[in-house]
Amino acid sequence: MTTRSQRADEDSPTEQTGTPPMLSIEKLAVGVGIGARYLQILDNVDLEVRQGQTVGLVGESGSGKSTLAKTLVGEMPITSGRIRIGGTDVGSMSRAARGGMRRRVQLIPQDPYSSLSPRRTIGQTLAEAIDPRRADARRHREDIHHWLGKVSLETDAAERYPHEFSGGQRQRIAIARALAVKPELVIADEVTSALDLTTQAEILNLLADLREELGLTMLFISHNLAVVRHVSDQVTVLFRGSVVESGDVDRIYDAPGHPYTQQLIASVPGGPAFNLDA
Amino acid sequence: MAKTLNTSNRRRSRFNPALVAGLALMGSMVLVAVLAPLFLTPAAESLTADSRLGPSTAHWFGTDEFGRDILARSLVATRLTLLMSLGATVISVVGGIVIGSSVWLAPRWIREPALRLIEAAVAYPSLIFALLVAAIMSPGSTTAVIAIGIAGIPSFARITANLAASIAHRNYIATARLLGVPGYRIVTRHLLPNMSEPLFVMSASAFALSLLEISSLSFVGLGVQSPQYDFGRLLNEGLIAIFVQPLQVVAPSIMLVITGLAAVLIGDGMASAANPRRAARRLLPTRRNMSTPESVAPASQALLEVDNLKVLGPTGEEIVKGVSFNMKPGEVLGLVGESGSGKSLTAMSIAGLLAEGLTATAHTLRLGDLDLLTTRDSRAMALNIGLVYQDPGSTFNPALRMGPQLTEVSRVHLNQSRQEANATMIAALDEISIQRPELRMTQHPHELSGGMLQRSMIAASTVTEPRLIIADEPTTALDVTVQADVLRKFRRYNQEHGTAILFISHDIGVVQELCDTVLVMHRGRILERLTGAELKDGRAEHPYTRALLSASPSMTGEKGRLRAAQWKPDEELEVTP
Repeated sequence: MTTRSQRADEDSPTEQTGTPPMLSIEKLAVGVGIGARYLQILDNVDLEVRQGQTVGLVGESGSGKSTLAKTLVGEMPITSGRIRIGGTDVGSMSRAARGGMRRRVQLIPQDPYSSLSPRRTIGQTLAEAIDPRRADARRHREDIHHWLGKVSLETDAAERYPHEFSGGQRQRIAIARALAVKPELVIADEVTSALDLTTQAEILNLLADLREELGLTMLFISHNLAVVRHVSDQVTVLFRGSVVESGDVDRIYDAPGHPYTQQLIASVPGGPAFNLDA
Repeated sequence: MAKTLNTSNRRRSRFNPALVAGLALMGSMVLVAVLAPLFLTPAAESLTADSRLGPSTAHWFGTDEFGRDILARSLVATRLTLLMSLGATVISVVGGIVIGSSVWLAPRWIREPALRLIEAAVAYPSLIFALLVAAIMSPGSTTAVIAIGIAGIPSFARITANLAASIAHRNYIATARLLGVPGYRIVTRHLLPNMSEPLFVMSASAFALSLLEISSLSFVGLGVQSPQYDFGRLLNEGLIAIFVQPLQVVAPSIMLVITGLAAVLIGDGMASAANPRRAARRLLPTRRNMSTPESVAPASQALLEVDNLKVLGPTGEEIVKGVSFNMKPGEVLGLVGESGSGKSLTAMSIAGLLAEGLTATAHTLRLGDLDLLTTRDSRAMALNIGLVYQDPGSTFNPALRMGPQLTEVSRVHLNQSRQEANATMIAALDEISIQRPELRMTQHPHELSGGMLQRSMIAASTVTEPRLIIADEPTTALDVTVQADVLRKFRRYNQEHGTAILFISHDIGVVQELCDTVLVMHRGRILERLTGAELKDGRAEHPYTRALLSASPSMTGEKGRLRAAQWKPDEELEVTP
């Protein structure tokens, strides 16, 4: 715990003067609909993820967590504000450049059951991540086996279909697929919500290992506060589309400043502040 | 539970009677189409002097005005008819799929008008469109195939676009886009393979329709032209002499009906093979296990007594492998475990609500003086047990107002009038701190938040003043702040009314806070019984419970590796709670 926060502290001065943050979001607003039916989902959101860091994004349903993830991967348009990835402004990019940008940001989706096409073998699915045009499982055999090994799956998994795997194994495959693209930024959207406790522990350990090994930069979105505390260096709390608090994870969990953050942290059963008789 | 039901469905043969009959009929028609022209062409096409003969052993259906055998002509016509129908179907299916998927790939400003255009085209009668095409081009078999084929394109394009729209929401499509896969590749790699089943089914129906429309076109004289003939042409020729020689239209009509029937049966058969019926949950009395003796020492002061409860799957395998526990009046008992541990099945057996195909047996299953094994008294069950389900969004009927749904039990089982029931319910809602309960009663479920729906559900489960509330993952679908509020309501209700609560959850944090006693379940067995306080302090004995605790991320900031449970249970392990 201490080593990680120390490293973050040491990094910050050099980061500020040297390379720009991997992801920087400034005054982002996102909405749907037009005219009188316009509905603001995200309002004035600021967020920063530095190289090698994991930033947790917590919030309840309707807070705009998923909308932010969709906006980052280009599935939703920006109403106003700015998203910069590796220093380049996504909004000012041409259509073609944005296509290339897509592979620099990869999303690990929540539901391991609907994120793998049931009619394609794991090898074919991974081949598509390695080479989206040809997706030839035989040509990329070695790469596929490499990535399966990285997520601790046997190489014969490449020949099998998604329904032959458990939820945890499918989530490993989804992680392998996202990493095979060698993205600069990984967005993990509720990756453990559909999993049992022990499987969740396996996946969290795997992410920690991969982070160490590959130096992953990650935006970790979850409604589970304990999981976010476990994996993140920094945390940002969203409430109804706005950031209410952000900063070092230990500071925010131990001494939340905003009343909403206080309420949120006190609501976690098993947490120190939880009281049913209040 | 769902897993077991699925396997039983999968075990059912994919070949149902309709499909077998359809394939057999179509097979014999194809055989006729191949063989008849080889052997029967002379009888069908050479002109003889035997004009307009009645049925005889030589000519079963008689002869036409040129002395040709009608049966032979009908059989030989099968080939042309089938080929034409097939051709038209291929045009409709291929054209429809290409247009449908292009529409899906197109940018939004093209997609929406294109979809409206396709819908308008579907609304326009296809036969009239085909007549138009046939009339403009010179009539003939090729024209008929093209006309009917094109006329069938819009409906297929619409189906493809609709299927694509429903599949497009799945994550693997979004992920493929994110990986930078080109649009047409997404269609061929992900879209088409995943909608092949409904498309096959629709193709069979499209074949039946093409058959009928091509025959109609030939019948009105715009399709096949003499000297070629298909079923429709034969009907057209028979019409002139229908009063003197009715049999001349009967033979092609029979062939037409058989072919159409075969195609429709194949379509229906494929549809039902692709879509296995879902098993519905219904009230099924629990069965007493007669081979085992009664429990010797019943815990007399216990409110709920469960002794050696087993739940068997459709093939007789044990899913819950003999669990025993007692609940004292006013006790809050937690059943905790991962998916597949049998915690929900245990609770549903007590409530008498097992899914179809599952049976429960037990030495004893008793709530107070009510024997839950033998009772078929739904009134006694409703009055003694209150139920709270997991998903507040799907528990209520969205079409009805909250009032009638919430008061159903009091009206049906307590014989209360509407006014009385409403008054009781409003008081119950007020007690569980729902603001403006009178207004809530007149609202529809979608107007209430998830937390409010779940609190209403708790209120409804308490109006009969039951002796036991069974709550199956009641806070799993809720946000954490709402969950804390709902848990407080459970705690307060338990303390004020002394109602026992059987609380099922996968969340160790929740049960350790709420429950007096916790039973840890794994693969159909109770592995450990401990108090909520012991669990909170981490004083667990069983390796599995300890594994669960060490797999839980902590709120207090320890960030070491989580010890994922490596504990593998010995199936023969004798475990006492």
